[in-house]
Amino acid sequence: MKNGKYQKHRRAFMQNRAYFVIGLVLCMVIAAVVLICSVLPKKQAPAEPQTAQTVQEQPASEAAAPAVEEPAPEGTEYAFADGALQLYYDDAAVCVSKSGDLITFSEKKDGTARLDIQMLEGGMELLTQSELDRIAVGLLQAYYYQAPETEAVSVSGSEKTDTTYRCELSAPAYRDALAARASVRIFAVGDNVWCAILLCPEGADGAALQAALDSVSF
Amino acid sequence: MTLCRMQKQHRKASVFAFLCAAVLGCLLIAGGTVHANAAKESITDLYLSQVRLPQVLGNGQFTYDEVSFYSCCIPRYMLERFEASEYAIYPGQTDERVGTLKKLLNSDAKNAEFFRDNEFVTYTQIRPEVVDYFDEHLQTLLQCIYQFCGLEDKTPCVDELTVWLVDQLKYADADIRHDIEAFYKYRLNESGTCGTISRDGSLDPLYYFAQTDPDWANDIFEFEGNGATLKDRGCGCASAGMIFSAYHKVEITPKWMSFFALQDDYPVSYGLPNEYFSGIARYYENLEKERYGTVMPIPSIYEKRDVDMQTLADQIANKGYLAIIHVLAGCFTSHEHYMVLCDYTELDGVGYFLVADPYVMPSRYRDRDQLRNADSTNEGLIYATSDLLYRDMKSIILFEKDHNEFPLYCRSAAPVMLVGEAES
Repeated sequence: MKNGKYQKHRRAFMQNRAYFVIGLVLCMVIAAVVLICSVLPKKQAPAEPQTAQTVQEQPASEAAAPAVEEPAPEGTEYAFADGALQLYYDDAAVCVSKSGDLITFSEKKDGTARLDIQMLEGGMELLTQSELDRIAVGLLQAYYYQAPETEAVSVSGSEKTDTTYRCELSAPAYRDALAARASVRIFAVGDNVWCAILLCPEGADGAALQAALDSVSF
Repeated sequence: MTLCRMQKQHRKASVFAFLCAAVLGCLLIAGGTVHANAAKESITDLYLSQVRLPQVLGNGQFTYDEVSFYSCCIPRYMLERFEASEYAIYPGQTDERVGTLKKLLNSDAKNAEFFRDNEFVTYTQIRPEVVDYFDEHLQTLLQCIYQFCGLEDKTPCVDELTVWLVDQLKYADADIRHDIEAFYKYRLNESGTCGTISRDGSLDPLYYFAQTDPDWANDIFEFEGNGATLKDRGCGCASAGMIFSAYHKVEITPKWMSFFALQDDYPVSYGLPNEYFSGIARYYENLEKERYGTVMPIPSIYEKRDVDMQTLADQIANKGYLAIIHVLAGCFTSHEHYMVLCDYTELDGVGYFLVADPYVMPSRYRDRDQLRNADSTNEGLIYATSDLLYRDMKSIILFEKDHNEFPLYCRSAAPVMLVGEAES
């Protein structure tokens, strides 16, 4: 009896398999649309850092400016990432130190600003721009004993290419810590990323370190 | 007719097929979304967990009552990971997850795995009747942990973040654990909530231990093989336990005190002599000095003729002294008995001592007109007039030191990372 019922259902199902396939395809399309829609708004989710205008939003005339031949870098060369990356710094104004895996550049005159370079395992190709923004904010939060919330840190000038990422960060005064700004550069080298972050607490100059950061190149 | 039925069957089958596909599609959507979110949540953490922590902004300290403490530092991404907890249990609620946390934090030498050197959760907090109950002491403890972690605005609750914080504390530096513990005890002391948790979950207004407590009532405490138990002759041990706990700020049960008494051969025919209290206090004067800086006073023993009840009332009410009263047959006993005088107050114009009677059986009291029930569910507490106590008194063992004294200090020398390692 049961077998008969099963055969009946099977036959009905086989006769209508075209409808089943159409229904399945339709649902897959709906699923794909819903999935895309669910991922897109998350890029502005409140837990993520505040993002201001990006470099792509600069005036077209500026973006389309003719390439100018860059002058040869000045200063002492410092190579890292097994020589894949170099930066140039003014050794009259800047000193270098190393603590564990952290390379630190600081100004001889005023030691409050600092430029730190460190390697993180993992590639950059899988990371979205908002994920890189979050990592950049995390790099800044690491300077605090008790860090401000991610939402409190604003991100601007966020820009990502296949091998580089850059942004500017700004954090308000928090507990007993001064307000601070930071410039972050992330470079993909092999299977890892190299992060350079220039930290300038309120009142710090950091011009010599900024020049060093801007000189980082492959 | 047949064609019509076939068409109907056909339509039914197509609807069924469509529904099947819809269910399958929904499952795919759900699966895809969950997977996408899980990956999204963890990918940045994977990188952030490797970030070195130079920690140069701020000083990692907070101040309480003019004492500066170093904080526990936790990377922000870790805190934010636990922002949305799947559960939260609040003070006054009962849940087995509260019990699990309490057991983890318990310092009982027999059962404690991780916090043997810290009395974060006491013996009376993990008795079976109250183990799952979110009591006031746990609430204060969590507030203290939050304060050290820079989360002072967080409402005390047992949630994923709290459980995680406690889990991290297991491996934290001994000094920071000490600071949290001492700070916690200080806060309890400051709010007047230092004491035991009764079997109904409420706070006792002092460290209270009954000789009739089933946990030790039948423990042998004999003299010359008379087979007596703590229930029979343990009033001295229970009274000493209350006093020792009040000065050392840890729970010292009658079981402990009986061990000390037997070890030094103190028992006499009627229980314990007055000299037991001074002898044992001298021996364990500095029991918790290293941990909390507390010191136990050596008591003075006053015979009845040397006691002025007005002075005694002032010492207990205003100076924070504690006393053990040795009474003879009368209102409280037909033989001899020890009880603790832990407070003095005026009720309706009449002065009363708050008596912590270790023998819980209020029905035995005589002279009810000179007694008043204490505002507590604890039946071992009773108010008694000075006249009544003086009438029955044999002697007073007076601990002439403020039991509320508790020095606050910081032992750590630097902020402590609860996760990862800070760059030097």
